[in-house]
Amino acid sequence: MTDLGASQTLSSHGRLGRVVSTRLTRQVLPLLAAALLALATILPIGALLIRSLYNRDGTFAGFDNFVRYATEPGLAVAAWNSVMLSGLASLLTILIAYPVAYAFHRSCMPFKGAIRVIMMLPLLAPSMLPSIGLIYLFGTQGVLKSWLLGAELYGPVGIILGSVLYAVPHALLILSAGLAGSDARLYEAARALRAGPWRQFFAITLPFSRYAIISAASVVFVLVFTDFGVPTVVGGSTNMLATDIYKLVIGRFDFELGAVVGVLLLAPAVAAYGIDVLARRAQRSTLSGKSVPVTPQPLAVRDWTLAAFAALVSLAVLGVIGMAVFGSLVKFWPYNLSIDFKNYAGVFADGDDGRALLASLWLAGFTALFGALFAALTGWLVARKVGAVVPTQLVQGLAMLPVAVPGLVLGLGYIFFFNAPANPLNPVFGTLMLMVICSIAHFYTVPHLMVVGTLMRTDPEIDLAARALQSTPAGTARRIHLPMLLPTLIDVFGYFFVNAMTTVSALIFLFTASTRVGAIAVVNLLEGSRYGQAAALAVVIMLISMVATGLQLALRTYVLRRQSWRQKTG
Amino acid sequence: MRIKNLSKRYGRTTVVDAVDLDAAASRFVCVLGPSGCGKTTLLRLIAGFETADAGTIHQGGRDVTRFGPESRDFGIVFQSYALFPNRTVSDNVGFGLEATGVARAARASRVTELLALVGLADHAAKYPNQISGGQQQRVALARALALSPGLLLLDEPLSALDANVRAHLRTELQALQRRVGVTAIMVTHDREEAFSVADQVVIMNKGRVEQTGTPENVYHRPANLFVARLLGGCNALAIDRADGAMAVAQGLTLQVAGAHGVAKAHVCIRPGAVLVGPEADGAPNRFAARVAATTFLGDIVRLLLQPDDSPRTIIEAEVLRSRLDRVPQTGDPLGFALPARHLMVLGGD
Repeated sequence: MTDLGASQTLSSHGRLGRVVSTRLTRQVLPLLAAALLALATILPIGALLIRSLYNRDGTFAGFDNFVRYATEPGLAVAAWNSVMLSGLASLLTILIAYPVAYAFHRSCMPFKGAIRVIMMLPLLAPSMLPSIGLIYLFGTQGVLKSWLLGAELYGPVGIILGSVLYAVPHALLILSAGLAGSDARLYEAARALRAGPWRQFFAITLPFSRYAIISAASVVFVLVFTDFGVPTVVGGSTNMLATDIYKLVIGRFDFELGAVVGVLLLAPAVAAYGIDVLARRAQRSTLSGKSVPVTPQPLAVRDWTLAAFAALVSLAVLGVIGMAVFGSLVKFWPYNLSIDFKNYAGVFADGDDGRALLASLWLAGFTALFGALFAALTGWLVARKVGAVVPTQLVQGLAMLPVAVPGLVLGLGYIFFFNAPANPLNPVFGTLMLMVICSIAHFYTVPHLMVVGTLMRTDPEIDLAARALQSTPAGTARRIHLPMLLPTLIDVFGYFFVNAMTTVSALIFLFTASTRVGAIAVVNLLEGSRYGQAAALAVVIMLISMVATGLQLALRTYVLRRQSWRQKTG
Repeated sequence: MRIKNLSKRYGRTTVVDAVDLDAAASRFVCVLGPSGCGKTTLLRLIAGFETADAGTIHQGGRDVTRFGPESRDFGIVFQSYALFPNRTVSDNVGFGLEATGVARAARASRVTELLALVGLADHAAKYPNQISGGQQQRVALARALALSPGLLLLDEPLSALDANVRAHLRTELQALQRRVGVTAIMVTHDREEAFSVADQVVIMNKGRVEQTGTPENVYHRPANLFVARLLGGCNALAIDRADGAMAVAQGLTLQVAGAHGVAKAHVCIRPGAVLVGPEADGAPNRFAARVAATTFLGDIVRLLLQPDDSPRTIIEAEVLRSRLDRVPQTGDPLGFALPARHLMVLGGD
């Protein structure tokens, strides 16, 4: 113990600094994080709710605005359309996605990898892209127009087809999670009791995945109910709430009715979110820690039937997206089908579209960077219980809020809150920075939960050990938590980037001529019926997302391999 | 280290209730109790991870009751070891030195010294999940000693290990504590562990200290029935009436001192102190009995004996196999004696 005295004196060095740093982190940081989250989420939503109850001149209106909305001809029908078409689209989406998810997790279907990649493609493109493909296939000059048996694409048919294509990957992710976790012992018990495959499916598989089905249905319903892209492109004269809110606010400057529609969009979204939360909780309780995962055994008839179905669905997805790609490449649809790149030349030229694409990259980059940093902070505060209970729960509650709020509602709330003359933050309105904040807020819940999930997996006593060794919370975060979190942070970055790249709804109310991003430029081009250019721009956005996702996966693999402490043998 | 009247409540339950505890310098103190008795909370209060509702903690003459863990002077080893998975063995041990800004060279020599002390010099560059449980435990110990704390806290440090590793590390832990000369407080529910390492045992029950003393002392002179039962097998006979040097307990008339006037008293004797067969013949407090059951435990045979005078009472005796000609069978007549000097009169439940 020769160094005993030396380290004793050294360890008391800087003690005051560490105590102050610890206090600040524990007491101030959670409140600061909660305040920033409130500024980006609950305050704008509150502004929208208040606005729906006031007249334009600032006098209290009670429910007058709602009455005006219900009685004005042609408006209330949009609410009916939205409910009906979203319900129908959700039903179809589940009917398609469930067998595919089942095929992934409970069969030995061939080509799983390829089918999985194809099915995830729509997640990487703006929601308009499949709809553009639909126009080339079934539109007025579509190559397969006759397949609709005389029905018109623009309207309910288009909305349902476009929405299903866009929503299937989302449903697939949720249903997969539900079907992946099951208990092999139940099936062994069933076989011991001589139950056949069908009986096993109806007695075990389906009941155990019912919560995942409910969860997926509610998520898809909200997705379709609040989506702006699909009905704008193929909705024709069928009004939906999501397109009406845009027309009311941007076309008529009727902010009060816009706020009313915002409330009508928000309420079902919140309700569906509540159902989703309950379903997920119930799903978790069906599995115990002792569950043995199911390993599917080959069964030729089942495997090939499912493969045929999954191939058909993948072919539809690939066909529609491929058609959009093809459309972006032809000279003059449908008269001159020779290939040229003039639409792409336009995207990369120094024009409006090129600038929009560049703005998209800035927006997505900043959203991913600051979003990931802030999600790391709030996830860390919640998972490692850094501060007191109440501020921590406040942070958690505010971080969970955005998932229940449609992008259009959040964006409109941002107008009411940040554009208010009385708000000292007013100068931020109309800047790319506000669009970055709105994108971060809109997509915040999932990344926050990813961070929480990763950091919750480590023993809480590690933090106590570090604390006993005189480490400040910030020091422990840097030395211990950050290396653990790194692979997740790469995923979080990718998630923010791709979503910010492809989103329309959160930004449609916030852009200006100089901050118009690519996905919005696609909408504008479609409004001008310039399908080829719109398709080209949407395809470029999809390609950028694909590259970003590829980089994300590669970087994650690299980091996991480099962190040799994760391996059992050194 | 001196704790006075320390209490901690969660809502309405008092987890630590007016606890007094003194740990003299360089002593090894074990807090022993069943799970849920408040021993881990007591340790967390000493560490400063929890704040006491009442009472004081003095360490080295300073009142540290209101101090956070940052301002106290201790090292801690957790049940889970809580090693940093992303740091090598030597970086785990050097963590506290790094956090307090000790220069790299001084850090390296201190780490080398500590790894040699716990016999892990060859494993310095490995990560925690690449070494065995026993080795992880030693890393945790070296890490806790790195800042030369005045107090070492151990929260069930051996309970996650295999039985034979545990016995070995127990001896090592005690030797190390003696060598370093640090005051240690260990929390455990394993009486063998407590007896083998402790200078002083503190027995807790429902948040209260039941008894404090040397292992010998608490084993042979338990303060009450709870302590007696916690520390080993115990025949407890409820006293019906007592008179001078005689007592009647569950139908057996016994010569025993001090049974008079103890509330809810029992006469108690350890199974190992019961004499059986020829050894019991002619001894005082001898009773004729039959064997109700036998359990073969290797060197020891456990007998359940049913006295002829009081068939509802069962006396447990543990006898060395070598002292018996043959293992008695169920139903065999076998007399036993309860030697007066091993009888304890204990109050409590």
